[in-house]
Amino acid sequence: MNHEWVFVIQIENRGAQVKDNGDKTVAMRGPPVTVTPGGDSRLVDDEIVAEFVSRQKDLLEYLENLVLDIEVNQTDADLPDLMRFFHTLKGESALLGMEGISRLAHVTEDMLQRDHLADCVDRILGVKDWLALEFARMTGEDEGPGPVGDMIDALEHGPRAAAAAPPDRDPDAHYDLNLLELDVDMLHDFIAEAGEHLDAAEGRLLTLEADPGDEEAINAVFRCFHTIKGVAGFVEMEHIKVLAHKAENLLARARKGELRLQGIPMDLTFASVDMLKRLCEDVTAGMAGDGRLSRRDELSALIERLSAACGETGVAEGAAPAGETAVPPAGTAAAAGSGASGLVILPKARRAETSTGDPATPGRTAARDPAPAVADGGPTGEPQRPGTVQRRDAVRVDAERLDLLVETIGELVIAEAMVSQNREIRTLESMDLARHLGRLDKICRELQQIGMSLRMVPVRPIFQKMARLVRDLAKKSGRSIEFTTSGEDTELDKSVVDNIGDPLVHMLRNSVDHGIESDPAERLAAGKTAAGNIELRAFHRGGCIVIEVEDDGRGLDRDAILAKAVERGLVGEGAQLSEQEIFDLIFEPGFSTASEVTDVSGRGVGMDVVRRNIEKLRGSVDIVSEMGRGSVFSCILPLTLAIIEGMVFLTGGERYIIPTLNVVRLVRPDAEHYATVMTRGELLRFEGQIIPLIRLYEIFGVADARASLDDAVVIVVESEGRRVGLLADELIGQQQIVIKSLGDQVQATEGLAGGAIMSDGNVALILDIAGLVKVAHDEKIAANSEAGGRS
Amino acid sequence: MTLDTQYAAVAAPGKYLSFVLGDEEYGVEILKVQEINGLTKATRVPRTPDFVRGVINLRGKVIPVIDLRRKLGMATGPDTEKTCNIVVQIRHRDENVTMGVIVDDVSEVLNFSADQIDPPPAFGSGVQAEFIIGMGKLENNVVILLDIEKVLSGSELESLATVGA
Repeated sequence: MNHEWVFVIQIENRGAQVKDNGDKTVAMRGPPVTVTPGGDSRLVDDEIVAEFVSRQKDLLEYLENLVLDIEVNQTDADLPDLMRFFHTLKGESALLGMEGISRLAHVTEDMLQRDHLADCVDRILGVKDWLALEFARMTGEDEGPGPVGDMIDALEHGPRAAAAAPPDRDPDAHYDLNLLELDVDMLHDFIAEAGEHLDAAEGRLLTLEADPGDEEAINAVFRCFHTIKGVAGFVEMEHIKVLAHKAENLLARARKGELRLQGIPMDLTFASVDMLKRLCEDVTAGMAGDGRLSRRDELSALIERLSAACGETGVAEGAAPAGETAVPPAGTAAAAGSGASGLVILPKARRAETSTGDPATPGRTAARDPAPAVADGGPTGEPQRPGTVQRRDAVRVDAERLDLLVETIGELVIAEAMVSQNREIRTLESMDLARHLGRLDKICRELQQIGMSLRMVPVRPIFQKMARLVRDLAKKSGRSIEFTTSGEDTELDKSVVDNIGDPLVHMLRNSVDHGIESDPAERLAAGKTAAGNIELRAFHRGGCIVIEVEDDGRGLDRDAILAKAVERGLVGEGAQLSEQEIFDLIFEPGFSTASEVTDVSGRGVGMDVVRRNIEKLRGSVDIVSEMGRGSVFSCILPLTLAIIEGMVFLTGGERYIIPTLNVVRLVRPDAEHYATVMTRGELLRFEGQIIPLIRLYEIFGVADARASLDDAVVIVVESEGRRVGLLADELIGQQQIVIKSLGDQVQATEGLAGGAIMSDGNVALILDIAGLVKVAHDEKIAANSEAGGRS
Repeated sequence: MTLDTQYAAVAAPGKYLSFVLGDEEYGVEILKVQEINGLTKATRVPRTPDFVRGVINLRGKVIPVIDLRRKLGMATGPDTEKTCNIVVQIRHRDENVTMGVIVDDVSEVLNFSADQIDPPPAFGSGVQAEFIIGMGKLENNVVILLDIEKVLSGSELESLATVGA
């Protein structure tokens, strides 16, 4: 029984997948819901009321999505859903003695039956806002909305805006707030959520930039601001709420077709997203510090500019942004619309309006030629999901707890293997036992599969961030660049996604700064489009994920790089290097800076960072480049950091594992294939190539290993295009392996990638082939020079 | 706690786990000790200094194990039944690191008050003076209080990787 079965896991990604798709979490956290319903006398169990209220919050989100969906698609298909919602609300609230809500629901029902659905959207949103505030009041989280009578009046008397906002608050009040006195948990949730929304909004804005008419994108951005506004009010972040509200107003105008999101309005929207991000950072910083918010004086200026762009006059002058909050989004859009047509518009707003017909506004170099943009459906190239509202339940879980779960499952799998591989148990010839063990094994595998899938997240947020980065870089460097992404839904282990950002930034910066020609004429002369093309894509290949950055710029100048390397002494004069080896030189630390100063190769800034980071993720970077045609940088990453397919082999009684990815073939070489060369050590002929032979036991200092080629096997491995033969005693088998860190201290050992726990509970070491090849190489050189010295 | 051990050379009063190495009794702060285990077979890690016994599986986690005798430059003998592994948690580069420390025998948990702790002697003792943060006085014995964090981290372990190479 030489077989060792260790956690045989499928990395395949089916099974239950809990995905955080940015939708709302199911459970509302926060203080225990203490409910104080309106003045209605009632005899109802508090618990039932609390349950009702906490359920409503979720339903309101659903309602809002539904309504926005109706507006986008101009369809009545969702009307039955709406009717059901309000009907149920009416019934339940009446049962619980909440007469106000019940009446409001009733009136809304009437309205839905009476009026054309499309005209009701604003009013329904008004009702939603009112209900949200009312429920917030019940749980003691807000002061509550205005009287229900006003709301009902508004519904009964046509599309007039309903005033449902809470009383005004001091605009600067938030600077006096002590964050630590608020519900910190809720604030954390808010910040995290707002961050996601802002990232999403940013992505959509980039779509919009290329195709200002993309209604779905406008709506998506609108929804983001709207949600942030709502929740910000809820957690008493008044200033965030005001800004989100203002930005929302701007979007509302764009939604109504009164304004095209181009030029200044677009920049303002971007500025709002940035400011909101910064405000969120302030809150985080405040919570970590003394609970105070730092001042952002730019805020009021931005709010004013937003108001101006919306055509809201006067009101925004001076520091009275909070006065604006009294207007609900539904009403504002209408009000702003009429304001724009009738009242004096500030100069900025006028410019914004006029720029509509002139897409090539100066200073917006990143703007694409609108024609192709429309043709291919936006820069992301992805078919926009039709406006269906997907409602998926998701639970937000602490990442630490998730890791703990995955770890514990790993232990379970090991324990299971220990039991089922136990010698004594194996000698028992019981059908029953075998069946039970088989079942246990199956469940364990499934568990592990689920555990792994829990950590998988799409690369979309990172890609969106990159889109923004390229836009800003292009603008800054005065280049015109078309940026496309694909494969945003490709899923990667969260830890990989978290760490891929830095290298991507460097790679994209290189592509923009050094890849794409700065002069469009140069591009045209080369037969390319005037605007540079950069594509960022992610896809599966084999058991890996590949993330590629492709540009159609200058490409790498092989000769210049080589010349530079020779000059710096990295490469000997007249050395024969393969193309890959030459390109690899740009990863050399410090190589970049030198070349940048002289601007010879053009590329290389931060490339050493790229390779280091990617290698830390157990991935590799490949470069394909053609002079004058562009370059492709491919990062080949493991699907997850936790699992690899590995080959287990023995050397002198010690087990080692080689990632199967690195293994080319196993051979038992004949003597004729083996040669010793004085200066280059032992060599092996393999498939017409001469490759070095490494005796692992020598490097690792293992005693009692088989030294003769007759007994041993040679594992031919490959790393970064270089092949090497490793001498091993015997092969045990291939299995999936959970990689464990050896700990900071031991980890740094060259030639080792980590450890794995085998079925006997002991640890086996995983080889890092790239490192090993380097070690062997260095040692051979050292040994040879020594030998040379002696002779 | 990190601050204490980093800047104050003298051990703080409190509870210490005492253990035996050779003929002497040593102590480590009990707060840094996670558990005490019997000896399990460690997997040797090539190219590491000789005081690294290797790595072991601690309930699904791979942790390095240090032979404290070797680390402190003492003569080594064969493992006995009493030889055991003290699992400690230390701060290293702002991260919590779990490591095993192999000692001859674990004795007991001792409580030292401030007046029972003397500053480390300027000379004597086979152990490098920088690792000692104090001498705990008992009625008829003295316990050498070790700064286990310093023993296991900092420049000492930084060199770990390079020593082996």
